[in-house]
Amino acid sequence: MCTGHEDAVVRRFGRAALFEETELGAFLALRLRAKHEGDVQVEATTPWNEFGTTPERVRTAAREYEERDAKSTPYPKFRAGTDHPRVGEMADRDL
Amino acid sequence: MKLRLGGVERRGRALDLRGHGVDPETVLHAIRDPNDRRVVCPSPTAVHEHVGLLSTNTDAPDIAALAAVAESLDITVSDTAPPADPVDLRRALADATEDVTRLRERVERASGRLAVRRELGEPTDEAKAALREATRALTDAETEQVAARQRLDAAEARLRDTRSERERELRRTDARRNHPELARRALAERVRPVVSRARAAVPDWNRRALAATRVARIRAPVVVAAGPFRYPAQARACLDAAVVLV
Repeated sequence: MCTGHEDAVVRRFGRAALFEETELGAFLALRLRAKHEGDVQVEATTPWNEFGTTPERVRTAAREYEERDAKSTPYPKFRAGTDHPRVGEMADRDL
Repeated sequence: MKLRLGGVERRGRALDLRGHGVDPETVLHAIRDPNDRRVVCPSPTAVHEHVGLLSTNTDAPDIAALAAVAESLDITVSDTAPPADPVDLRRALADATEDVTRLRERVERASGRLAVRRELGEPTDEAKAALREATRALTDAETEQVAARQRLDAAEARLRDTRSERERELRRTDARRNHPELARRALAERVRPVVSRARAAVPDWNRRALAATRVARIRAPVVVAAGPFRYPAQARACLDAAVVLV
């Protein structure tokens, strides 16, 4: 279905697809729902702004971890001895 | 290069062997064979295979030749840097939104204070002025918020197009990885416009071949057989390579 309507498909990730916000996008989403019923999850996406939703410490931790010297360093080791938040701590906090 | 052929001994980057009855293929062979001491020069790279000999019979460069020219220039397909993330615009919108929220609260407080003063029959001039000031600040902040949102929306729309284009490019790259012929074609397309433009800088004689040679980065000398050049130095300048005219 996606291959036949390239124009309406913004992006595809394996079994997920992002449709254009057009009637054609809606048509395709509804066809999927009609065909696969509850197996299909349809959600509207909005661009995300981390400022105002995400605490500074999380933003800083992400940025600095991606700038780490050794790509092989896992996050828990990277954060040891710093103020960066723990993974579990972040997992427990809703935005 | 150092050349000793047909009773001629020369050295330099632009040699003229015309009138000595030297066969172009002989010179070419001597250039390409590292053990052939008749011509001592930098060893030819892959592109020399395609642009090493120019004659009236030389074909216009095909896909393989153009791809070799591109490779000589270290041109590769894709591997471009990711587009910039409009992080400043997102921060600006978040700041503007925060200002609006803060100022809305200020307007509410100011209007509450004014209402209280009215009820108590106290002078209201100061409270009125405070409300006016707060309302004005809120209007300004709301205008700024709208502008910030528009700037971010525009940047995101552009980014979406860029991402789609990059994804298409990525898919093409994947396809090319499995098909060397596609890779060659893509490389050739990269350099084709450059070669087309170079046609304006070469004499009207087998122009496309001359242009491809001019564009290519060539280490070993190029053999020009019965070419359009009056002087070897002209050929060297035009082709941007060491030359042997025969």
